[in-house]
Amino acid sequence: MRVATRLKIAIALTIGLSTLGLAFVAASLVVTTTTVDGNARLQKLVSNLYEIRILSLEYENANLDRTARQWRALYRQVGDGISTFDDMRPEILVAYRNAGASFEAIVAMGALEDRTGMEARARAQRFATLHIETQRVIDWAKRDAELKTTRLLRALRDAGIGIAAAMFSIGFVAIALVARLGRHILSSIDSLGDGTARIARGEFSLRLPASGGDELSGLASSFNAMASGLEASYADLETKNAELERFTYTVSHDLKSPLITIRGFLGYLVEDAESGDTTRLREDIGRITAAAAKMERLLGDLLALSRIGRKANPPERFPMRVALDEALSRVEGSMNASGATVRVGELGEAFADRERIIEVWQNLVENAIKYAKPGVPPALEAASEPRDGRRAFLLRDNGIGIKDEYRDKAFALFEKIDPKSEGTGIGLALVKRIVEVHGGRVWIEDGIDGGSTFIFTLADGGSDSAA
Amino acid sequence: MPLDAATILHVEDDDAHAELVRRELGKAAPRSPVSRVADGAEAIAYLSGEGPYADRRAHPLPALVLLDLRLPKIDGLEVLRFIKEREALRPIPVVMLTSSDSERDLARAYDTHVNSYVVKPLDHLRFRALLADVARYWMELNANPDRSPA
Repeated sequence: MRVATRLKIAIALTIGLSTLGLAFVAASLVVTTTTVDGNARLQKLVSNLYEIRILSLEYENANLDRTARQWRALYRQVGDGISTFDDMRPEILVAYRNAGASFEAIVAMGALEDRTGMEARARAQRFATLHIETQRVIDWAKRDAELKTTRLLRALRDAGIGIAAAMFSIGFVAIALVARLGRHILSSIDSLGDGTARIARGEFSLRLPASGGDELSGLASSFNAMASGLEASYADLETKNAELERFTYTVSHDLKSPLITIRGFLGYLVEDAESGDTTRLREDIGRITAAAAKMERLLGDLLALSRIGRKANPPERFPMRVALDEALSRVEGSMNASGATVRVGELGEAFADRERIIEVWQNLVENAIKYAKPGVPPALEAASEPRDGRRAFLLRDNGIGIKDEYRDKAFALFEKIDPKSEGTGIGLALVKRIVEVHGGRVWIEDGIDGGSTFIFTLADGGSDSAA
Repeated sequence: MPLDAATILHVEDDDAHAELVRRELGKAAPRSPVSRVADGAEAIAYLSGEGPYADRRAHPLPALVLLDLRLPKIDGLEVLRFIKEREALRPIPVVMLTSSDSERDLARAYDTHVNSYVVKPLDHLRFRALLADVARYWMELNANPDRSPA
């Protein structure tokens, strides 16, 4: 899962839990508010009821009209108040009405002094009822107030628990998610850091695990791509370095060799002259001349080799058949002398330095003629075949062939598999250099009757796509 | 076989160099015949006594091998390995006589148990002196299981 997604989920979870906790707290607060309101009204109610009781006692003693008026006003006010309580029990309303009825009956009886004993008792009874019913309503109101207080406290406690639980859950979830994410990020960064250090030490084959599909594995993939690139470049560089080293080695060795000959036989010239051995003198001069000529040839070859890549003609599109025909016309002399024949198949087109490609064909054909089986006229076949998704060009021969172990060596500079063959051994080195400058590859496979097949490709786009 | 008639096998692909060495050995060790072969495959054939070299009277095992490093077909190091891997050939001293002064060639030759490694000098007189020293040391001074010291 992507890190951003995981962070989003963590945030969403935190917000969700916070909202839940807040909703709980809000609900508790609503309960609290209504309870506090109800309690205040109950307090007011109780105080009014006590006032009513005092007024009742006052009226019992003094029988004043003013007291009766105050009593009735207060009774109405309390009555209005009581009716607004949703949880009012019917018997309380009944009690309150009884209290009202008793008071009105008392008022109707008039003052105590004018009454008989019977009437006085009835009046006292009414008052008793009045007090009892009033007290009942007071008791209810007080109990209700207590109940509401308990509820309030409970609501407050619940709100506290809700907040605590919400905070705890949020904290736990957030810490767990962040810790997990942190561990993941840290281990990825560690692995990247370690990988970078190892790459710096030259471990280009190193690859990091890049599964999971998040940003960090994306980073690991990029790291791996970079490592692959470095590995390829490094391998390429090593190959090039090795080639350069071989080249320098070959050049120094091959140029030194004729020099040793020249200086050695120059030394003998004096002896030859002194001894008067003119036959040997002539031989030795011949050896010196041959060595000097060899040096000249080697230097010429080196010059030709160094020109490739340095002096390139602009690439052009041409039918490969035309390049092959031009090459064949240049080697017509040795073709005729050896009785060589060439069968040409479909070759397609090339987009390359045309002159160089002609040189490639020319060197390959010359090579095939040079290494023909004694007494067997070279029968060559030029064709093209798809190889590695590209068009590859082939020249098959029926010559002496090259053993597997010498096939790479055949392209090395001044390397001759047969020391008695003519030439300096530059031809196939030139072919390899030209093909590689064109981004292609050249190699050897089996040919006809134990002969060889030389195969070369050009860069993507260097030839038309494989047929 | 008399000591001073011990054969020297010279493995060298360059005809002119072979002639130089032949002439100098002719002066330095006039009684040691020099057999020359032109490539590694031929050297191995000679040492194994195969094909044209089957007759050990005409082609006796050499008392010294002068070996060029860069050879066609099978190179000098392969020939050296061939010699040093065979019990019968191992005591034969092998002297690399090459124009290569590359450190890698030197190291590889010693890894393959070469007995001596000398670089062909450009200068004619030094070339002569070197071959005289090599011939004197290996053909006269040096003792090996097949020959007691002079």
